[in-house]
Amino acid sequence: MNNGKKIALVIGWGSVKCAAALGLLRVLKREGIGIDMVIASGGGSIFGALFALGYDVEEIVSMNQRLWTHEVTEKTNRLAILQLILPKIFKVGEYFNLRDDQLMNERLFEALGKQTFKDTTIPLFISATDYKTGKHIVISQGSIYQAVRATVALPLVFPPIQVDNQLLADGYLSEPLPIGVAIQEGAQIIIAMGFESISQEARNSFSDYLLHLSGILSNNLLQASLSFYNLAHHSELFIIFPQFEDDIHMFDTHKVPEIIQIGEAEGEKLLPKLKQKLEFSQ
Amino acid sequence: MNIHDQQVDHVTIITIEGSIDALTAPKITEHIDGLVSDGKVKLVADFSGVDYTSSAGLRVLLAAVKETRSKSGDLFLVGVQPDVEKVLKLTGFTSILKIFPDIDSAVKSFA
Amino acid sequence: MKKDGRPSLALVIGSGGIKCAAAIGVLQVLETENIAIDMVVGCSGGAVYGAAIAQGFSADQLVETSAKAWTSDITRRINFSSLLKIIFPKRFGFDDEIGIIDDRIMAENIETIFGAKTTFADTRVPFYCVATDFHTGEPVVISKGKLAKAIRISSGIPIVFKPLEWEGKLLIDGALSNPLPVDVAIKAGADLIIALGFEPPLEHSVNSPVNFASQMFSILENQLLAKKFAFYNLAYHSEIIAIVPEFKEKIRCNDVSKVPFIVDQGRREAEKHIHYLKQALAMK
Repeated sequence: MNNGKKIALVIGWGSVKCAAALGLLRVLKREGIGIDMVIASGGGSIFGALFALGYDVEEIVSMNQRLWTHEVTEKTNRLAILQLILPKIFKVGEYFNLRDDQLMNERLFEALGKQTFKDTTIPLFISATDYKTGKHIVISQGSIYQAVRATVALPLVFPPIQVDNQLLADGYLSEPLPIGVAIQEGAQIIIAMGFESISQEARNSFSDYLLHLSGILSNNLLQASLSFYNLAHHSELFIIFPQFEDDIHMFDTHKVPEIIQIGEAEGEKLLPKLKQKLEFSQ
Repeated sequence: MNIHDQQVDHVTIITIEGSIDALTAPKITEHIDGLVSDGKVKLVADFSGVDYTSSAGLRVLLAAVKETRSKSGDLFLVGVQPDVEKVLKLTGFTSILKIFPDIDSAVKSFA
Repeated sequence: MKKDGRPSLALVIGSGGIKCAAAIGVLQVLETENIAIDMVVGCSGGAVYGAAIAQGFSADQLVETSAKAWTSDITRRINFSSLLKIIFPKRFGFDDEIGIIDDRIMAENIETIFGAKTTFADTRVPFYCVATDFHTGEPVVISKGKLAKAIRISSGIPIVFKPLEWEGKLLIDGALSNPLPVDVAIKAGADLIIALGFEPPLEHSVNSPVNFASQMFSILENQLLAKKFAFYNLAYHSEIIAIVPEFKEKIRCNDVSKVPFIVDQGRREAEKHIHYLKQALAMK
């Protein structure tokens, strides 16, 4: 399979849009093309981890529908909003988060349980950020649940978590599309799927404004990363940015079937070029 | 700038001393091209004697990394000095190639 | 390439607030060696020093500039209407042009240093500064018009100072899109570039909401600086010498008393590169 060429799948940060990667995987599976390693950041790490653990794309899709309901992300932490506006009056805790993460933690644990990186069928690398030093951290051992939970910790939305001596947060802050890991691991073919985060909607509040500014920084970081990796890699690098017609908000879990279809369409587009690279022998 | 190498089994250890910049880049390219055409693609570069790098120097280093990888080998770095490490971090090199604390662990990684 | 066959030298000063005074130390080293700069590019705080250097200010004059630019009253006046819009958006109507600090004093300081009427055409060597388009997030290069206005725009840290309009765009701090604009120098024809950059400081603790949010921006900013530099490093044939002074202690944005220390750090770092710089300048 794969003619001896190692294929890496990199799933970038994109919360619910990452489900598009499942569509891509469906197409690859149909064609008998295997993935030899998965590198994931942010919301996509849930799908990446399940896939690396050996779950079928169809199984992951149905688990997704069962687990990620709108309730998971709805419970806004009202105390946190007040802390933001009037910090002196409402005492501030260790970190500040706008959504109650208890339900999400439960669902994640339900999906990933006690599995460790050793249980995966192909190597899995989860990209996170050390919140104190700003450094990029690659997690490839220990509890998968902890690794995934750390990388889904988008600041201002879900709280970072303490793992050993580090305060870990979403990988998107340091590597929105962690292609570097695939390059370091020597993959010959890299398929990277990324998602842009700038929303065109008007800003009606201060938190919208903050999100917009962080979106500017992270989009610029994404572009710069891509430009760099494009020049630095030694292999075949396929970069896919699925386009979504409607505005899909961070937690629109009901739109997942439509998102997966868009991923499939991207998979079909990629297929001829990918097959060509696989058939080419040196 | 001095450059010389020694063979340890199937791995070639390249020791570089001095500065890796626009002036010394051609010499490095020539040396590494020579090794690669001899079939030596498993390289470990000992940087403990490298005291300076500039962007021209780094481009040459990256070209060497790519060349070895395209032939199923690789180039690892060992003994990087703090000032040079700062530049390697700033130029993204630490995220695309592997740096080892010592020659032994780098050589073992090729196994 | 210059007319006599020598490589043309650019000085690029990245964003870093008052730490950009390290450029004075770099200039001191260049002055000692009689090395002339052929163009200057600045982002944010770097635009203040960059423009001054392009005007021909000496290292001594620049020390005075620091005291005039970073006065303690810069952040004194609060823009109450913006504050009300932030706290009660529904009542007062939120819009993009918010800025908690009234920028009048900052703008006045810059005009005092450069003159209200001075334009880019008046500089001794070409000067460019960088800002960010608030709507698209893209970098914008400013190389004409009033110098003081351009510098104010490039240094416009969002939330603190309000965005300003320029040629139909709403612009903010250049650091959000191109914190160390080496590419501007390359595209303007520089062969050899001294890139003076500063890593955004990280918080000691992330316990309060303000520190927590500010840390997020610092982390993103740090990574953006690195990835862009990494790209420019590979993409072009120009030789880039990176000078990134480290400051172990945190320096508050208008702590003018720290300027001598900052200048000193800049000089020490520049001295590490002067040997190679001279060799590179002698290359044809």
